[in-house]
Amino acid sequence: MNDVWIVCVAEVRRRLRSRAYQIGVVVGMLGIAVMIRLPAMLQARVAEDQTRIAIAGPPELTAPVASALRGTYTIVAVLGPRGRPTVQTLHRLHVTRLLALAPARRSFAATLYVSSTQNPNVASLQRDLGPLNLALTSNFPLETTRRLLAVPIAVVGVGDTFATPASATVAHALAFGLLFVLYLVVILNSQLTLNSVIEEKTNRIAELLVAAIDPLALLYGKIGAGTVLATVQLVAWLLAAMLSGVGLAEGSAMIHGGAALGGVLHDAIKPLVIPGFLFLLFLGLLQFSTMYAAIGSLVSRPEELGSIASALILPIFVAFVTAFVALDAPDTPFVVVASFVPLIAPFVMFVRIAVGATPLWQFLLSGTINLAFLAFVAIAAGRLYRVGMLLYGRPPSLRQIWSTIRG
Amino acid sequence: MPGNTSFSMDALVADGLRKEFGKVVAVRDVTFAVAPGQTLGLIGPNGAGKTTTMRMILGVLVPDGGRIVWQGRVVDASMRHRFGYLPEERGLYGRMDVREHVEYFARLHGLGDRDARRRADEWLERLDVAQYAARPCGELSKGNQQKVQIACAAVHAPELLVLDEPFSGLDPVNAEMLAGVVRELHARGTALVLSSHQMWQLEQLCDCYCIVSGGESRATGTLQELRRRIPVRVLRIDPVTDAVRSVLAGVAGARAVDSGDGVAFEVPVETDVGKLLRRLAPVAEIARFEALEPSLREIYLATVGESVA
Repeated sequence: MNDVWIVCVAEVRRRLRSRAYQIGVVVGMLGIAVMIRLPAMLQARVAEDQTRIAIAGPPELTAPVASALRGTYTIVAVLGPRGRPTVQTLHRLHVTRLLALAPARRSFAATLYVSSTQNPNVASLQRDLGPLNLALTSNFPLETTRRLLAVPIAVVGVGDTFATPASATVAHALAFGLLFVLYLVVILNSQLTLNSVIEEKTNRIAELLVAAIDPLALLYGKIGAGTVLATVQLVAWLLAAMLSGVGLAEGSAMIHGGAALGGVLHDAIKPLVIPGFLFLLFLGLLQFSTMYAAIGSLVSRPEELGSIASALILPIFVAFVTAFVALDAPDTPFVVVASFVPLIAPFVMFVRIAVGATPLWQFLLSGTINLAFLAFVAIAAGRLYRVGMLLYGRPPSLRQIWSTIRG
Repeated sequence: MPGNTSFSMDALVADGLRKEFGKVVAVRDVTFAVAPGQTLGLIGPNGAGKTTTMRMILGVLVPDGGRIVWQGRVVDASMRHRFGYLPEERGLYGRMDVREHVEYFARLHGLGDRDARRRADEWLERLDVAQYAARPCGELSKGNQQKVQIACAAVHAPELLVLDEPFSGLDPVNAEMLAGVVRELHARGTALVLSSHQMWQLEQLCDCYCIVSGGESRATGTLQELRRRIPVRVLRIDPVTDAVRSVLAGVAGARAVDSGDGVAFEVPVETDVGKLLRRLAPVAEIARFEALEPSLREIYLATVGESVA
């Protein structure tokens, strides 16, 4: 155990100095901050463009329409009647849309001129102008038509997932974000473990190490170091996520009917999500880094990795794609089955517990299967590593690998 | 010779070692013993099984047959901390500081933090690389990197130090420095096993030898014991006159050989050289009469030649 600890400490110190790790942490923090902030910034920009509007038409129409839109829109200019504007006219007015009004029967006809027909967001205008249209045609007071057209619909969840749309949105956003973090932490740290093993083989230092200590102590020390560094990385990234996300969650909750943030978060983050995330993250990390270390010990030079790279990438790719499917359909049979399959389960099961109605027994069963698989991988990797660390020259055949695993 | 028959007094015993890699038998039957504090030279042509034997001693490879005994006990993983190893192909962590590197290996061999640091500093001082202690190993010259590797192998004061081709790639200054380290460890009572193709160096450093060829130990013993295996001695006589030739012709089994710098004579090992000189003195004016013992190189070539034949 002492040997594992010595290797682990040395590995942590060595890898902390590695450019790959340092860049991974910093770029990851920036990436997460950008990932969280950018959609909101773009959305705000788009929303600003869509809510700046110019109105053109006879004053008897533009006045009430401007009044009806003022709550939602910024009326940049009110113009007299005119024909089809050019895009330069819109640019000059600093708007992307111009609403042209013309009298029609007892109400008005409206034409929306837009600089781009993508996402014209006509529904919002229809919603805001509907009461005015009805008031003009029916002679009902505007307040009455507004009240009549605003049909109150309460949304109440009756399943065992989320009580409100706000909490469902927050839960999905959280699941997406944490899935991304889970993926990056697992892939980056497994890759670093792989690089460390290959470096020792390339440097020919491996023989010195296995002459001093049991190769298994070396292997587990490395994996332990990977776990420690993954934790540091995770804390840094989550900190970046929290700092970047301040204010956004509240804004998101407000969009969904002004629900209190505390209540939304309480509903969105089920009790199993955080401990489940940590458990599955370390489970995935241990599974992949153990497997990567064993495979790394079988190659003599980094160039030889190309031949087995696809074998390494495939399970991660399948896991990631399945997890994305699970975000929208967490309880479909395919996803449920995938959430038990080793290597894939850490990703898919996390999404299921974050956004699905996953029974506790399924989580526990998946955890047990995957822990058993981890034990198998640890034993098999130990056998491969013991032999592989001294293996130079042509990589072994699959038959030789299988025979080594069988001991 | 340390331990041909009785292993009880020996520090290290390799007894009938065998190692196969698939269909290839790398080591067929290697047996030798090293007495406490002695240095054994493991000699053999490339591919003879020296490195595999060393790896088995250190537990890097598990023997398929035979056993390795250290101080009366079959070697197991718990004894590895007491051994040191300098493999032929060796490396360092490029980004790790020199002192940290040596300390790391000291800790891996069971030393506590304080001892590890103290010993690391001592060795860096001893090998004249203390000024680079805080620099990454990757920034050192090749010669200084080799010194750090030696420090890593010896920092924990191993009871047994195994050095595989330790002089290969070293410049003369570093080779002499390493020879000094070997002598120093030998003087401290460390048992050493080293392989080298530099026979003259082995003759200077080793107490006993094991000649390995084709995965088998062909001869073991001290130089004197190995010499007994060679049935002839070389006589260098100057000048070689007809009278000298005539006397030598009367010695059973004697023959003239080209010694490289003139004619020499091989005579059976049991020849009474003193008596021969007394017979030559009256018939020829002898300026030089030298009976040469076979060198390690000659013994090696003769032994390996036998095994190849």
